[in-house]
Amino acid sequence: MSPTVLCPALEDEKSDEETPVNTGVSSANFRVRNRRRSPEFTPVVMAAGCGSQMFELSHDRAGKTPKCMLPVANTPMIWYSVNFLIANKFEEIFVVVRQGDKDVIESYLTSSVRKLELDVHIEYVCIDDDADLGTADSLRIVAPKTKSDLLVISSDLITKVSLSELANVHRANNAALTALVAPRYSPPTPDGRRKRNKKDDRDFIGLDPEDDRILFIANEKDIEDEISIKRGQLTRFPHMRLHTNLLDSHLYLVSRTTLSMLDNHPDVSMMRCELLPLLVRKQIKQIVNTNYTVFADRIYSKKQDIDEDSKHPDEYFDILSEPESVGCYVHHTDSFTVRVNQLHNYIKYNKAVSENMDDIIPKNDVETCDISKMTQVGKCSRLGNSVKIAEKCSFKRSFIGNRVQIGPHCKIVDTVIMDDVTIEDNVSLTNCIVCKGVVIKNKCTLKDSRICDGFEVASGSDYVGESLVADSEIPNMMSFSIYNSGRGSDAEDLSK
Amino acid sequence: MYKVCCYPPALSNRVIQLAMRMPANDNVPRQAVIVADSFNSRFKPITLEKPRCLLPLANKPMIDYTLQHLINNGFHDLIILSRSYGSLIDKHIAESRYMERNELVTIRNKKLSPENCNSFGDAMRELSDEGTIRGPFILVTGDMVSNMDMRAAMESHQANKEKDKDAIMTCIFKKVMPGHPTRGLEDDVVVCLNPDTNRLLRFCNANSKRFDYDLDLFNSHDVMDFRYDLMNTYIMICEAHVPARFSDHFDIQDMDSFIKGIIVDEEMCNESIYIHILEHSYAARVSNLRTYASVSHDIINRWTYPVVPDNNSPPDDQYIYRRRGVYLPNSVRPYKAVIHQNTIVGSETTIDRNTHIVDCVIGRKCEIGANVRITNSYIWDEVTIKNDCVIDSAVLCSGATVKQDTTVSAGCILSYDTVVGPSTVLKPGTRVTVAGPRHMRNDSECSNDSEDTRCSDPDNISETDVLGSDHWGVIYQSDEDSDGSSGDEDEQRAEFNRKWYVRHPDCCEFDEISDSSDSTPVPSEPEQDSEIGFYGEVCDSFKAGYAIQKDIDNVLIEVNASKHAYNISVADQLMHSTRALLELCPEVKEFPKYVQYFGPMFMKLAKDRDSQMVILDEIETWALERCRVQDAQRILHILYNDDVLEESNILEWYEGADDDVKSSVAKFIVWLKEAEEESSESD
Repeated sequence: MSPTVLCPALEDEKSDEETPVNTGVSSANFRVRNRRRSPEFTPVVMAAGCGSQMFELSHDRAGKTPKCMLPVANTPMIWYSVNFLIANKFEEIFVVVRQGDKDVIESYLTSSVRKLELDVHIEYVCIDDDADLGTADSLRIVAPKTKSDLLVISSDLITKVSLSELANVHRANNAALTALVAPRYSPPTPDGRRKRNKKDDRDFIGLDPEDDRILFIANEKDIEDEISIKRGQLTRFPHMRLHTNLLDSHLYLVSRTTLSMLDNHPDVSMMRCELLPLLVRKQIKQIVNTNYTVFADRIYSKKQDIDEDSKHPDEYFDILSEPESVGCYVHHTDSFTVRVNQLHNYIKYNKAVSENMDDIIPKNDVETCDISKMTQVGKCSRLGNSVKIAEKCSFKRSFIGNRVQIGPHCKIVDTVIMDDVTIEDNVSLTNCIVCKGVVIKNKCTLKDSRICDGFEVASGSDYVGESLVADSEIPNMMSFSIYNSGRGSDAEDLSK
Repeated sequence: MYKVCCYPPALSNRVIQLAMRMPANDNVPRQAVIVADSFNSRFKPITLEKPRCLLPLANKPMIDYTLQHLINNGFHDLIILSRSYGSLIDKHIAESRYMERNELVTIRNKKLSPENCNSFGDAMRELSDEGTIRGPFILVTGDMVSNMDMRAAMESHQANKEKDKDAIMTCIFKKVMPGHPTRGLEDDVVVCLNPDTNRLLRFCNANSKRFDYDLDLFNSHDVMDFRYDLMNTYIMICEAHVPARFSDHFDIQDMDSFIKGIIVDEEMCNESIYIHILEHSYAARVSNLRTYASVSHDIINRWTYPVVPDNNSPPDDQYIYRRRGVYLPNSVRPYKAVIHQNTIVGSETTIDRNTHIVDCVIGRKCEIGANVRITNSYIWDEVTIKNDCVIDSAVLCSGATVKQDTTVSAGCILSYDTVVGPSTVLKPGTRVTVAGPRHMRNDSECSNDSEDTRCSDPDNISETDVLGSDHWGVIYQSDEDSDGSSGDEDEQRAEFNRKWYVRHPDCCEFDEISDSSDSTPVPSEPEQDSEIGFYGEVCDSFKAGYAIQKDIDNVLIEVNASKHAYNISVADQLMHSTRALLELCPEVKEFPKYVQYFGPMFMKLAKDRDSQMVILDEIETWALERCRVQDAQRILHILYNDDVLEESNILEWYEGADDDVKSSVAKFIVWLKEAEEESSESD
């Protein structure tokens, strides 16, 4: 399909796309134009997720790092989605956050955006810490604040996709919802073959190969032991291509008709698990109404409404172009796209993002760092600000956050170290995640482990494949079923 | 080089080309196995007396379609597996003289014993024991109609085999949208395949409301196509050891369960099956009465081109393809009857006046009376239908007779030599036979003709009520109908059988074929419109020209221009001009004036015999339609005097004309003959 370009405005962005955004240059023309009329899409960043699949690094307790503030390549991951929107010249951005996380996120985003010297307004939509609200509920809150279609983006999405192509697919199909799908990221292996990680939750996405209409969508974790396809669906759309290797990126364009449909379905709370399947079912059940008089009647009656309420004339055309059928479509992209939402991918994706998104990631301030000349920092590693590293250390493919202090003779490989960590001498870390404020005493050897916020690793410890959690957290942690790092007796070991 | 005398030249060239291009490679299939028994009873009671593959489909036995297709595709070693009526098949093959026409072709008919062989699987097992299969072969059913070029399929089979040594079979599927009548409801399948390799992954019948797929499938494949727009044509390219697989698993009865077994069952050596999808060419199987009806219509609508009635028929049974999908033999001139559309009429058939025929196949040597309405029906050879009958969506087998004023309702089957009527109404779905169904075995196609059980009983009161006072034959109770408690599947089958007939809307076509260049059938409706439009133009030109006595050459130019605009043939132009002239003239008294004016034009248009016959035929049709038979004589006389019509042509036409017209113009003819004698005498 070759989508036609309906709006020259977004086409402009496409040409600008290659320019790195953090240079702060932007087209003044476009902004003036943009201000005169309301934008075609209103962006909403979903940043209220509690990271249930990476809770060891972040969970819903106040005071912890919110999921969207976890660093990916030394940059909080929300930066990537906000930056993506700014790069596409959106000037008003809604960010849905939990009440408790708002201050952290707001202060971070405000300072980051200020650096760009752009006139971007970010509005925070807070939801209660305890309220059990899904993404569709968040949409209900945001929808009345704007009149345009919504662009919903998850804060854990890191992508280089061209938004104008996605928008063209949405416009050309007059779609109720358009989703972005990408091949699941897997680093190229030496023998060229890609292997599937068994831990990945796969998305099963069934598409019509003709026009990329979504006919089936489910996540592996929602499926028990078999997948059923209904005959009615196949009668209407007899050719379905089911992909198991595509990633549903959780970037959606949602039309106003879908938003108004949300009001008729108050029980729909989750976008991905409830709203999307509902739309997919609708397009199959639908009987296309070819009875012209009925259609004409409807226009006529709507027109009456317009006369009475003297609505904006644009809305009259909305009725004319009102889709007779609900259609959900996808846009395929081959651009780099990952979602950082699972623990086992976290280190892998840090490396991948660092490689692929180099132009987006803010550079560290070398002047503030104090790095011994006797220390080797590998090419693929990234250092934060105010880092202090003693002599004779070696770093390979590792990420070191702000204000980290590392003693001499440390060897750090494939590891992510977050802010404010202190590591003493002769420590060896391989494939570890070290959270904020952790202290690792001397002569420790840690492999394949996660060390959670504020933990203190005693000197001489030797752990392989552990989750190290501070004492006070254990009861809280145990309530999560995911907390199973291989051995049931972990808790006892750690509580010593 | 090769003699294939029965085919038109274009086709025989194609055969030679195919034979030349086929690489001399042992891996290329050379043999074809035709399973000529259906192992079911969908066509009962017709199949009590004849095997299914010999039933006429568009006036040609089904097996001829299969054999011709295979021979045209370069398969010369054909093995027929027949069970019931093997001798009839022998006889048919001997009569059609395939082997004499093409010395390369050998056809062997292997008769299976009806006792030991009760399923497709049994037939395959016997084939395996026989050991006649030497290499890869084509496996088809004896009721297959196709115009596909097998090379593409065989190439894809070859390619699959090179990539995957476990590939044992390539099944050919036709792309047909769900709900299309040619999709037999019984063979409705949903297939799951790998879109890159076309390897078949799952295969299930579409009878259930939902289809469940286990997670194993999704763990082993990244991308899968689930398709409900494919129809199994039961044309398969098999490796030599496929029949042996049937022997290994003695419980496999039919092809579907064989395919399922290969795909899903681990025990079956991990072998794989691929499919080849036909997008543009035609392939279908006549598996039940419903598909019988729809394949007949596909042939009439020329989706199977070049396998169409006017193309591949023997010299003694040639058809001419007329507008609106009507096929008439040279000998039949049904001016009195109205043949609307999509109809084949066999040779030597007579149809009396005021009879209307729509969407029908009518065989050879039939006699159809006056005031009969026949719609959507299949009438075989030597059927007699008396006056005032109504026949809707029925099958009338050879030799059947419908007496006066009888209504044969939808879904009726009158088997061989049955008689119904007079003055009765057959209920929908009535099946009449003279063979004794109650004495027959369950799987009736196998029963031999040894016991001649004519159990018709004219004194039976109830059947006389139903079938009419002169009936011959009994009502056939199918097994499915008689014991209703035999489960869902049988009930469904009975349902299929009762509602076999398909109403053909105008759009009964494969949408996806319509863009292919080699098989573009002429759409019927627009043509009709264009004729009406053309006729209108001609009338206007004539009227205007006559009113001001314009130069007749200019009128002819106008008519010729509209002929090109509406894309009308020369014969049709002449026909419509004649009609316009006759309609324009209000009274026969004024006719000489008109002829004086238009005569030169018609003389230009109709110089030869054929075009003069068109004028004469049109006059006859018009006279009958407008009930002005009495004027025909004057009109002929005037046209003769003005030298538009020639004497010899009038006399020739007179021989074949309608009786009423004949009698009214008799005097003129006598005069003509006398004049001729006089002139010859005077010489």
